[in-house]
Amino acid sequence: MSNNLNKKVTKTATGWKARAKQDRSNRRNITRAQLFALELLDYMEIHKIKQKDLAERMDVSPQQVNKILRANANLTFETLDKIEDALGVTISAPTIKGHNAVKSQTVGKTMQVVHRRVQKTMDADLSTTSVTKKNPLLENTIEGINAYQYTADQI
Amino acid sequence: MEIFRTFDEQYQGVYLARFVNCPFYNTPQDYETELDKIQDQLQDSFYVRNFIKSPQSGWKRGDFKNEPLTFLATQVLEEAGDLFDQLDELTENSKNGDCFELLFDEFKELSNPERYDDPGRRKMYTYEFKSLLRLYGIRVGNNAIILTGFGIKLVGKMKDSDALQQELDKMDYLKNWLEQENITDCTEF
Repeated sequence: MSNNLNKKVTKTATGWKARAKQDRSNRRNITRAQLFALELLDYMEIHKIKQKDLAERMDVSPQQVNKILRANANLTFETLDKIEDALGVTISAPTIKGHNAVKSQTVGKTMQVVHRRVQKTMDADLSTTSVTKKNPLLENTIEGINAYQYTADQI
Repeated sequence: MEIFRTFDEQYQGVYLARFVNCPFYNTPQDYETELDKIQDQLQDSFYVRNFIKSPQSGWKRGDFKNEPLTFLATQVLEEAGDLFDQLDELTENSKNGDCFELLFDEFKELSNPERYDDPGRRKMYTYEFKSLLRLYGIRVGNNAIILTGFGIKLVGKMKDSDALQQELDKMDYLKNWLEQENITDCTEF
């Protein structure tokens, strides 16, 4: 005699629904945190920085760094400052698109990790001619981002 | 095996599996069902990036080997976000909790010869075009699907990725279990 599926099923799932609702209302923040986490992971991999090392440099717990990398942390300017100081990088400030003051076509949606210019190099550049050959990592454009992304053959 | 309803009043549509006492795979303790696992892992940048990078994904052997890692990870995260936003929207629009009936039609047979298998292996694409994500499940009768897991498909054939091979095994395990339990339908006469 065949059995009915509904007679075998005794429980109703509860967990996913509450989270789906919460995530949907918070989607923009989640997406920003995810993109930032991916950039940070790329940077850490290129520079061979472990989570534990970053936590020590930031003076936070490794769990806190783990939350950032899993896009589970609420990123504040204070946290971003700590990451900047710990890695010696500049994290571009969020910009308002379409505002009169913004003339260039910057990527304003995500916060990106870029190299901080070495002071010595800047001095030399300023005293001579303008910089003509930029490090691709300094480019604040989509193309600039692609310059340091891995493909399968590179790993 | 444990099977969960997605809603209290549900009598057909998409059900959710939890693998218990399976010899090769058990749903992690932290998750109620496989859907919770999908929801958590596929929105986790660290997990998604590491998974694609791992040999399990088949990235280095598949069609996407020339695509940058961060690009693929971004696509997967975005697709997963869209999927759960869509599920939440379906939930909101449903008055009696049977909205998952709508999803039933989205599941297609895993391969053409399996079209009429019952119980039979099924897949669902998140996007109609260029979808990297798949949901997998087993069809029971004419109106029920039991969701068994997900895949990030970066290879041509499922068996070319260890992770996707495990999803095949999970589907086969549930299929056998349903046959052993003689569960053939969800319609009550």
